[in-house]
Order: sequence, then C-alpha cells, then structure tokens
Amino acid sequence: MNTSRRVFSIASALLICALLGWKLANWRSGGDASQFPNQPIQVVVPYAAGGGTDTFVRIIEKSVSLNDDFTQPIVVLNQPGGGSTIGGRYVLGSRPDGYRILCNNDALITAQLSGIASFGHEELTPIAQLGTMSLVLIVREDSPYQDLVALLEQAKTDPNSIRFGADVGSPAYFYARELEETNPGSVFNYISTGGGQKRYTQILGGHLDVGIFSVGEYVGYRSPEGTPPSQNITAIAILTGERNPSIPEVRTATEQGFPIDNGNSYYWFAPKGTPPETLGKLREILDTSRRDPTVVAELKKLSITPDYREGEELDQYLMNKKRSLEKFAVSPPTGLPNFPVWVIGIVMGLVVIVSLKNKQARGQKTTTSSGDRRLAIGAIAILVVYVASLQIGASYLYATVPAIFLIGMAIARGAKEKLLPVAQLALLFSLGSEFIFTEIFSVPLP
Amino acid sequence: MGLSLVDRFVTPPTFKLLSFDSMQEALQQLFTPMGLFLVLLGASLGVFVGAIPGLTGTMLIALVLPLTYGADPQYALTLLISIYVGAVSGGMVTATLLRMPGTPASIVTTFDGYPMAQKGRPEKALGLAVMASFAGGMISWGFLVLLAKPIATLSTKFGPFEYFTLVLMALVLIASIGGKSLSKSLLSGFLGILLSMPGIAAATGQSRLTFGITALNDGFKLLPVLIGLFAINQIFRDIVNLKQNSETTEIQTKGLSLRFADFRKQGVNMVRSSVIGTWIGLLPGIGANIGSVAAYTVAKNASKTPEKFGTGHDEGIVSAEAANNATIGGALIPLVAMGLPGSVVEAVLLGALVIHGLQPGPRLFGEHPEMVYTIMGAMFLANIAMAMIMGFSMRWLARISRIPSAYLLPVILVFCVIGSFALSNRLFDVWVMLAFGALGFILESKRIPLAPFVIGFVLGPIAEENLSAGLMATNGSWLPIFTRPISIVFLLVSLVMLALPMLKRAQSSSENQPTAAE
Repeated sequence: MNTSRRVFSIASALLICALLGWKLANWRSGGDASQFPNQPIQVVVPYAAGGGTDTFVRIIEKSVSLNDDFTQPIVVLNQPGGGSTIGGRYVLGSRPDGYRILCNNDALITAQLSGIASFGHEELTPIAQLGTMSLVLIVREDSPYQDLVALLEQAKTDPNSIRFGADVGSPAYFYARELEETNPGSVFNYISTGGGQKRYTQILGGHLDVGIFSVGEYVGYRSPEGTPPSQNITAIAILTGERNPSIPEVRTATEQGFPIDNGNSYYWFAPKGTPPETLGKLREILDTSRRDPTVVAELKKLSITPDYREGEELDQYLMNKKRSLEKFAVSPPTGLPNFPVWVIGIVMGLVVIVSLKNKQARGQKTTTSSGDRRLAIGAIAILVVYVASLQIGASYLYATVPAIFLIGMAIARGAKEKLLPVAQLALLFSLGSEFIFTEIFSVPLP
Repeated sequence: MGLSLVDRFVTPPTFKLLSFDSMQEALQQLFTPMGLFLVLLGASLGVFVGAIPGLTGTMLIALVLPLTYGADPQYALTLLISIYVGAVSGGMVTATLLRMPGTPASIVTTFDGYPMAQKGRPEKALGLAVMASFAGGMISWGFLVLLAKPIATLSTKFGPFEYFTLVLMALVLIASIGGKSLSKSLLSGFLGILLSMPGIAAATGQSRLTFGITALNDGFKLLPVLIGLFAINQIFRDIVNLKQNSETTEIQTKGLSLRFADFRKQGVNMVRSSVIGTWIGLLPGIGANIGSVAAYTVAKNASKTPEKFGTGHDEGIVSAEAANNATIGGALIPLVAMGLPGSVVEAVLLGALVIHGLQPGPRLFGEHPEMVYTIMGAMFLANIAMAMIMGFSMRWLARISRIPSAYLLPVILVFCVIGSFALSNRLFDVWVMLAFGALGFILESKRIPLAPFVIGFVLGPIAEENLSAGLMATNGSWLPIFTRPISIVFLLVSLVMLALPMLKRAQSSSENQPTAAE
C-alpha cells in the first residue's frame, strides 16, 4: 500500500518535471514577437461545428495546416448562438493583433438589419471575402409551382398561401423579400423551421412549399433521375445573376423576368485597429490557400465559387449588399401566442399549488442533514474567486494551481499529510490539462 | 455512378443492392491493426471523456477532428464513431458512482445507479449498466443495418404539429417519473421551460427576456445548466456530508458480479428499452436526451414492483442504459439513409466527411457505400470495445467513489469549469454553471426533482419552435393538431399518461408518505 503510493508520488513528480520543462521551453521560444504569426491564428466561427460556415473554414484550416510554407496553423473556434452575434461580438472585443479573426456570411449584415445585433460590418476591419454560394429556390418535384411565374403569381393572387421556409431575419428571409419585390403584390408566408436539413425534410414531407438553399446543398440533397417526384426536390430558379456550372439547366430568376442577383458570401474580419502588415499577412494566407488545388476541388464539390475580394472593392461590395437589403423591414409573425407569458403564468400557478401543499405537509417536515455547510460554502467561494480571477485575465496555470490546492486542502481540513499529495495533484493537473489543450488540440483555455 | 438513394428508398430494403466490393473494402480496412487500434483508442477516449462531468463526446470529437485531416477518411470516421459510442457509455460511471451525469442521457441512470452504489454495490450497478449498454448498442445496430431505409422515410412524415405533440408527450412522461409529487415535477419542468426561453426566439428572430444583456442572446446553454444543476450541486452536498460518507459507504463483497441469471431476468426489459431508444433516437434533436426517460417510464409502468424504482433497482438501471445506447443506432439511421444528421455529434461527423472531400447530403452514402459500412462496422466494433474496456476496468472504476474527496472534488470542479468554458470559449457559461449550481441546490432542498427541469429545458424550445412553425403555416389555426392522425394519437397518449398517475394517486391517497429520496 505504502510502496504503491510512493511509486505514484514519484511518477507524478517526474511527470510534473517533464511538463515544467515543456512550459519553460515554450516560454523561451515564444519570445520572437516581431514576426506575425508566431502562434496559431484562431478563426472564430459563430456557428456550431458541422455547419456550412464551419465546414468551409475547416477546408481552409486543413489546407493551411498541411502547407509547410506557413509556420503556424489556423484553428477553428466555434462560438455558436444568438444568430451569429455571440461569436461576432467576441472578435469585436478581441485584441487587434491578428490572432483572433472572424469568418461569417451575409448573416452578419442581416443580424444588424433585423435588430438582433447592435453592430454591423463597419465595426470590424474586413480582411477579405473568399467564397460565394449561389442560391436556388427549391420546391418538391411534384409541386404545382414549376417556375417563378407560377410561384409569384400564386403569392400575388392569394397572399400568404405559399409556405416559404425561411427563418425570419435570416439572410434567406431577406433574399425572399427581395424576390417578392420583383413582382409587386406578392406576399409569402414565412415559416421559421431552423436549419437547411430540417427545411429539406419539411419540403419533402409537404409541410413547406418552397425554400432557399445553396447550390451545394441542392446538389447534395437532390436524388438522381428516376426518383418519384413526390420524393425529390427540384430547383426552379437561381437567385444569383448567372447560371451555375453544377446545374446548368436551371434558369436564373432574371432570365424568368424577375431581376435579382444575390449570393451568400463568406467574409473574414479582424478587429478594428489590426496593423496593416498583419492584415496583409492574413490576406496572403487566405489567397494562397484558395489556390491550393485540394481547396479548389473541395469548394467545387460544395459548389462554392472561390471568388476573392479585398480592400476597396470589398468595402464597396459590403456597402452595396447592405444597401440592397436594408429597405426590407423585418415583420415578426403575428398571431403567435405569447409563450413566455403563458409559461410564467403556469409556473406561478404551480408555485402557488406547491406552496399550499407544503403548508399542509409542514408538520411532517424533517430538517436537512446538519453537515458542515461552512466548509462547502468555503470551497465554492474559492471556486467563485477562481472563476473571477480567470475573468479578469489571470493565466490559466497561475489561477488553477492555487485553486485546486486550496479547495483540496479545505476539504482535507488542512490535514498535514495531505499537503504534499494535494500540491502534487494541483501541479500535475494544471500543467497536464494545459499541455493537452494547448499543445495537442491547440485550443485556448480560460 | 454508385447506388442511388432512391433505389434504396423505393426498393425493398435488401442489402443485395449494395455492392459487396464496398463492404469488403470497408471491412478490410477496419480489421487492419490500425483500424482495430483506432476503435480501441476511440472507445477508451470516449469512455474517459464521457465519464468526466463537464467534458462531452461532442467536444472531444470536434477537438480530434483537425488531427484527422491528414488521415484516410475511413480511419477518421472509425475513430470518431468509436469516440461517440464510448462517450455515451462513459456517462454511466460518474452518474452511478457520484450522481453526476455527464450528459442528459445519463440523468436517468442516477435514479437507480446511485442508490445501488450507495448501498455498497457499485460493481453490480456498473455491471448491469455495461450489460444493458452493450445490448442497447447491438440491438439498435441491428435496426440500423436492417431497417435504416424504410424507417428513414418516416421522418419526413413528421411536420411541425407532429413534432409538437410528440414533445408534449415526452414532457408529460417526465412529470410521471420525476418524483412523488406531480405538482412539484410539473413545476420543475415548467421552470426548465421558462429558463430555456431567454435569447433569440426561434419563430420571430427577436431576442427576449435578455434584459439587455447581450451575452444572453443565446440564452443558457444545456451543458453549463446540466453541470451546474447536478455536478456543482452534488459536490456541494458531498462536502457538506463529508464525515458521514467516509463511514457509511462500505463496499459489499457479496453479490457483486453479474450472473447469467441477471441477463435472463432483464432480457425483456433490455429488448424493450432498446427498441424504444432506437425509435426515439431517430428523431432529430430529441432522441438522445429523452430515449432513456421514455424507456425508464415504460419499464416502471410495466414492472411488477414499480415502487422499487428509484431505490437502486436493477430494472431501472438496465432500462436507462439500454435505451441511451440504443439512441446511437437510431440517430445514425437518418444519417446513413438520408445523409441527415440527427444530433450535434453527427453534424460534426458529417462535417468530417465533407472536409475529407465527400459530397454531403442524401446522396453521400449512395455514392460512397464503403462509408456506410465503415460507420456500421465501427459502431459494431466500438460497442464490443466499450464493453471490454468497461468490463476489464470495472473493479478499478468502482473505486473512484473511494478516492479521497480532497483529491477528487477539486479536479472535478476544474473540469466543470473547463468544460463549460470550452463549449463556446467564453467565461459567461462558467458563471451560468455556478448560478445553476445554486438553483439546483435550492430546488433539491425544496424537494423539487431536477430531472423534469432538464427535460423541460431541452424540450421546451423544440416544442415552441414546432408549434410556432405549425401556427405560422396555418395562419394561426390550431385545428391540424386534432385532425392530423399522428398528432392526435400523441395528444391522446399524453392525456392518458397525465391522467394515469393522478388516478393511481387518488386510489392510494390514504398512504400519504413523505418523500424518501434525499
């Protein structure tokens, strides 16, 4: 028993030494700050892993990390939520040193227009625009609306009869509004369904009449010829100015008499104040990887046009985009019940019922165990101080070692024989977790 | 062109259609030393990560993904699937031994696993859980292999109203399992729904209940809420009860190991729970979280001794663990048949394939059948690997609860912090976790069960989103809920399930006992 404990103790001491060595070596090599980049570049993707933007960025990530000319990789940092505003705001408040940049699409613009984001692209420095998705309008293959005329005329003669799958306030919603405008009087009934896959199954199931997809999505979702029309989808129009090489047979909206030219582009942004040399280096990285033959091939599979804009051309492009969309006011759907009010009402009702019942049963109430609450509150207080210190910018290692040590010793009630093992544990865990996260996965810790 | 999706949809579900070449190709690669090594590595990493409160399989898969960029796509997929299988199973360890479920899927395991471990039989509890997990995994694997295509078409039949009534049914389920008091369970469930509401509303795209705090635009996330309610709250209680604990929990030495009799006795329960898990796992966004809840409820209602549920009962552990592993096979069905991911994990898996240069969407597996066989083969092998790893390390695992708290608890606390942070790389989520820890403590002190809270939290938004979409489509009419056949069935079942416990209670109202659970 004692020997095994000693072995354990020595082994962990050795490990700690090894990790300290790693930390020291890192320290000295990390000194060369003159050359950008000297550490991995984080690309904040404001969506969950596995989505369209995420996949796009990861294709670039892969190319950069396999390219020996670049000394540092780029790493994807997923920060989903809030209609892409959480990730955007994160980059907005980051240090303008080029190590944390954002990749987003038109959603950045529409989030501001629909009022969920208080900031727009003007608050960030555009690095480049790389990649554009052509958009198509999709119906089920046996749909009565086989071209834009049929669809828009129906939307005009019987407003709100077309169930259009587009989340209110999303880019697709704005493109659809633009389409409505090309045939004055048409009104679609917008239905928020969530992501592209959900929209696809809802169209197949006949729960939606029409939806907007990227060409890449359409090519992937469309079943081959010979599928019964009730189990397949078809594109009735391209919303982008030109026909798409992946689906040359599909006519553009403009050809059908409804002039509209919109594609959803990917933009890369840095925080305001990023030095021009750094921006230049970032552009070089992006420009190089878009020429990488594997990237070209993979983007082609996703039907993403690898177009590229930077500088003034890009500023103009963003401005035009915003101008074309901002005239459409977002009108939230009406006639929906006010869910929060319902739920608050039910909760209050239940609280009343439960407290009435409690009053009845008060006689039988037993007191909760009278353990040592002070100790527990103390330990949690250390935890709160720990999180607070991380919040104000303490380094992970310096905050975590004392936190583990103090909580451990508090739980051990200061027992002297625990002093050494707890200290060892604190060092081993903190160094070890830092090693695994930063060295193997190259993701940041708090 | 390879085999099309359509043939697979329309023609009878035989696998003769798919080429044996691709099956051979997939199997050959799986059974190389490298393939087997990756399965073992993935499953053990998954078990490890799943067992640590705060870290999840999804997180690990997203982190490992960049490391597979240089690798062959089949190998990459093998590793990722193995992690997935391992992680769902790993949750049982801490759920049973420490009452800290690492995922919503293992909440139900705490109901009976923890009491059994507390009674000094942790190995038995883990043994049952491993056996059930293995059975659940294998049965759902069978469904995946044999019935993927015919079942998958079903999911398009589900419109907004069907989803809404289904979720309603699930919400009612929880009210009947959570605790002894229906009103407290309902209160907990609705509190969960309420706290899932801040953020951007799905239907309107506008933010609500955020009180001007922009960090709240995305509301509270599931992981910090879950870790807070269960892990932080439990650690607090553990510290409070430090003294008593060290004296009372002696590990019994009798009746530890699993016997064949256990297998026979639980057979029906295992198969039923696995089937329930598979079918519920099929439904995107819902499955993994409530599969075990549904199976547990059904097991309890079918049991001859329902009163034993919640006190460390074999059937409870078996139903929960069989079902949560079965959801994997279920959730893979839409992925394999239609190229559509049913959960976050699968979205990442699919993303991995796309990054490896494959075309996403329903045709993906029509054109790359070898990937289908890799998924199926990896799931099969990972299940075996998981059972082996858990089986061999059982004695060692069971001792986790005997590690002195001074070592165990601080490390878990830091893991909770890292996990909440790493979710979307912000400290806001860590504060959320701490706040929900306090809330969990308060609720439990008032004897309000926590499980309905989490289920309400998970399902509330899904219910609202679908009801809104349905109402938007009908311009505000509720009628289709009652006219569509699937939704009316779900609605009626919900009503019956809500009424049943009330009736039972009315019958036995004389035996008014105070709650026994701590």
